Amino acid sequence: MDFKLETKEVKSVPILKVQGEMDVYTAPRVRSRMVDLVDQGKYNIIVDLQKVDFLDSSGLGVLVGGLKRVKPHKGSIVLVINEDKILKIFKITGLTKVFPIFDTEKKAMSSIT
Amino acid sequence: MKADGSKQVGLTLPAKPEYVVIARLVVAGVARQMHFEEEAVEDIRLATSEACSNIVKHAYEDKSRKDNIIRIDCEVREKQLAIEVSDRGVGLSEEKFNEVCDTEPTEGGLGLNIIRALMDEVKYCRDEGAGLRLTLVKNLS
Repeated sequence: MDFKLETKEVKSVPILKVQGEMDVYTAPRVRSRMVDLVDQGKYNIIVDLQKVDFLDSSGLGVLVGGLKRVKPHKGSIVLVINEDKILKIFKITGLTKVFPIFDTEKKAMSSIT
Repeated sequence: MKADGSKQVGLTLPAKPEYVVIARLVVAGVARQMHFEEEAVEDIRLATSEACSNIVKHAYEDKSRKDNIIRIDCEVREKQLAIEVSDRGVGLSEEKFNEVCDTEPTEGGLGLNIIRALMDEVKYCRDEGAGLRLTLVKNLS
């Protein structure tokens, strides 16, 4: 699956939809988009990883970096994950305790608004 | 084929982010050929990706050099797959390697913890006058 990054806004909350493989090559594009959103004053961001078929520590690092950017503004990074193989990576790194994770965009949105 | 009956598949790639996907494809192909279960194939794919990403990020001081490489050697044994990932760069010292493994989640430092969690054996050594060699072993269950 080709890497694709889309941003939409629902009730003023940006939703970053990532598709494909999020690795050392593609993760910097996600970082750059998150930095742009924070620069625009968007401190509560949903990152939808439902269509991500591969994620490694470069991708995790970008999410952790995003969290560090929004935390000083009392913001949050909320994740949407519905694949066990992607969730497993968050579990083995202990990041399930760091990020709120939901299996649908609707539930993620409800946690913010 | 080696004297002990094991088979080898080798690959040399430029140490650039866009080539790590090729390493993943090759090791996944070898693992599937050995009839690893799909979850184990994913573990092997991810661990190899982490090892290659470490090389891309840390092994070479001058990242613009065209002779910066990632070397991958898969050894197909009777009941396990051993993947050796090496470079010719400066990389992490052994002390730094262990330090990185013990760190809290940060933007870096997660990769080696992931490798250790997913593989059955992880060996790390620096060859005299050469780069680092990380050996990842997964047992066939």
